[in-house]
Amino acid sequence: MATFNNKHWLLCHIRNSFISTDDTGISELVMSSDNLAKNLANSYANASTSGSSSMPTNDEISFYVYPDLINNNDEDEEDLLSNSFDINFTQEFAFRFRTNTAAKLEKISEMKKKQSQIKVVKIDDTVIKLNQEAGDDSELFVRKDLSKISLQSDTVKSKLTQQLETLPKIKLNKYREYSVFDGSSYPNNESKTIKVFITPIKDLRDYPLKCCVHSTAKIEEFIGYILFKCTNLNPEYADQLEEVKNYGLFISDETGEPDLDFPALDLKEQVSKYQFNILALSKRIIPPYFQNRTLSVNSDTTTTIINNLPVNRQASIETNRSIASAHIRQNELAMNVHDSMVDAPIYRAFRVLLVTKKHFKTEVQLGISAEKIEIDPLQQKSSNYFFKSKSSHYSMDAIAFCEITKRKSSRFEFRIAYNPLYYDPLSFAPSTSFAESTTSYSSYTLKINTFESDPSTAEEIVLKINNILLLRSGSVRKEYLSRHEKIKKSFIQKKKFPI
Amino acid sequence: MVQTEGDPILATGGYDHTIKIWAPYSGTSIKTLQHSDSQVNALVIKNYLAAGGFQSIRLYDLNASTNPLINFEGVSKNVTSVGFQEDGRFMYTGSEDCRVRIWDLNCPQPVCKRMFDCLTPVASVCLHPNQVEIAISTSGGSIYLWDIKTDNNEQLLPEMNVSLNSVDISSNGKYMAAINNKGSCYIWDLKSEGKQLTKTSAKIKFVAHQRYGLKCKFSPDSQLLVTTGGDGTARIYKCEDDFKFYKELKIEKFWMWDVAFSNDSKYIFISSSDGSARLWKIETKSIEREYLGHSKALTAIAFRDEFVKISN
Repeated sequence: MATFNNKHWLLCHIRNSFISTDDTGISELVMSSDNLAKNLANSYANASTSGSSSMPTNDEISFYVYPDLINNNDEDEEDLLSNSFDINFTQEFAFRFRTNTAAKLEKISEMKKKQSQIKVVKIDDTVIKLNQEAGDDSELFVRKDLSKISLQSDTVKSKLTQQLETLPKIKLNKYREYSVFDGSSYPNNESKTIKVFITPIKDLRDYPLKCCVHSTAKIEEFIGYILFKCTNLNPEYADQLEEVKNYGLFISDETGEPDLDFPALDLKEQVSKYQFNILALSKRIIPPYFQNRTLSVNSDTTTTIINNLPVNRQASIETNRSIASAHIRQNELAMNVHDSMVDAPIYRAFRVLLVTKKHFKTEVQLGISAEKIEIDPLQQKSSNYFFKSKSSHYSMDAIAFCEITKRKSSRFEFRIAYNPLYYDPLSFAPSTSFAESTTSYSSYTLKINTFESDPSTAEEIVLKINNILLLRSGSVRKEYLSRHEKIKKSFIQKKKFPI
Repeated sequence: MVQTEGDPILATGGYDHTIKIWAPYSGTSIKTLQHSDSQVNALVIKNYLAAGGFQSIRLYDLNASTNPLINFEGVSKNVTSVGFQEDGRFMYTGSEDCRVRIWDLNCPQPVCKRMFDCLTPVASVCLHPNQVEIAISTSGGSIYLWDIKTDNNEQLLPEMNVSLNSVDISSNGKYMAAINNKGSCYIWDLKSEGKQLTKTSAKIKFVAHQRYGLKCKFSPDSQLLVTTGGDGTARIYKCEDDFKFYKELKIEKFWMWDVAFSNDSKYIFISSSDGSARLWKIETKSIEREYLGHSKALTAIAFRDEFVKISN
């Protein structure tokens, strides 16, 4: 333990504080050559070892060396220990925020290193005459007799022509417009190298493709570049790959399995925004709900639109088959999204299975409207009276989130999280019918109901609830989102700085 | 396809400060060389790759790192032209500081052995197939024929107030062609007499392009002359047929900057300002390959073909 009157400790502390807090780096530059605390400590050590012959001065006597800050055995070690752990001149990956000067100096030294490998020839026009006179140039400049040159004989051929004629023909790469996003020709700070697993092609699934892309490229352009690089290296797969729009980049781990819990990276964002080193290229999943959906809503105001829609859709399906019409498909998708937004608040009931804690499933009717969610158990065929569940309903404002948790081929599992303590301002009663306590809803507790259904119903329910949540955004939802955002951030930070 | 030694090599460079090395057959980029701080004005491949840029001449070893092997420092302006003697014994460079320099490459460190001062910025330099004479075109509109060995020279001034952007001599030593910034092309007959400086006589002048003329080049078999211009065309003429127009290769909107022939004069590489280089089959006027990857205009192209013997 050092006390505040320990001169050695104080000197070290002042020095470290100056260096570590001055972002301009000037203090570091000035102080790195002159370590007062160390010098004093050394002179003290010398004085004490030289014995009584030379009497130490008053200053030296009172200069008590703080033990942990000095180690005389090893010069390097001493350097390391005499500074705080924050200040580290030798380690490259110090966690301290590096000063501009240090970064600059490193850059310069790196450039110097590179430069030293390059021979430099100075152009000096004044010495040419001397060179000319000194050297014997008769061998350097030899006149060739053109009359002796025989014309190119027919037995010799250009290798390029031979290659073009004999080797298999190569089609022009359909993604070639994306080749300009190649980052390999740019310095490290302007490019990003990311390992990408190309999951749509079986043979390439196991080994990532190293893609170096310009950091200002958008994700959409990056996908195009990945496809370009992939087909350039493996032309045989060109036919299996589709348009850039149909693919998305997903977060992935070392195994190359795309993490579908996270959405695909935003197509319009720049590559530099993301910090991932490994990604997986995968086909975008268009919810089956959109693919084979029939409209069931009917109301006077929307009749005209609805009457028209199926016709349009039928037409678009046909055109899809005949010509590649991504544009129409996109419009259709946008229209579907719009439709689902419009009819989201309208009451609908679904038959789903409620998964209880012990993995028992009871069939329930899930009624969703803009105001609330109702869960009513249906009459069981073999009524199991041990697990009879009561019907319940909760306000839409109590819902925190709704998402699909498991995607199996035939059954999808989804869950709805709600705050059972939410105080409904309209009914002046807790949102759930059987909740007993009425504590303030700010205590953040969420109850989760898990359901199971066929994929398209699950997609539809989750979409419907999420659309309603979008329109309403109650306080529980807001709190959930803000917390979720924080968790996400800390997760990304953790990924960024693996310690 | 794996690029092995002895395979043809294509190099392209331009305004994006990089030089890309391509496998011409597959169209894949093998390597990207750093050409920091400057665009690439001229490229040539022999044993080494030489690149001329703003205030720089750089020599790269294609088998080594992506950084230059030798950096020539001290040119005050753009280096517009580089070339090698056929055995790689010396290198010649022309720059906008009005000087053409000859570099002896036999020494461990290249030494400038000769220099020629043109008084106007040098636009293009070309070596006569006799390997001792050099033709220089300048932005002042004149052409110099310079004998390196004896230092004799001759100046031609076909037209006033134009810039001669490119000059070339056919490999059989019969013709010299030059193109100016107005798109006009000049042809001279050349005649060699012993060790004397080659005699020139003006042959014809014709309008090759409606706009800026950028490059003119004879094919290796001396049968064809190609000119490129700012109108997005490359026009090919037949030498033996009094430079009769033969074929036109055209792209939309962009300039065609530089050209390179295959050894048998059947294919042509053209770099253009849309950042891509293309391989054309001259006979069919078809694009066989596209070399994409540069982000800015391509101003220089170099191609080293290899010969193969046909067994029958």
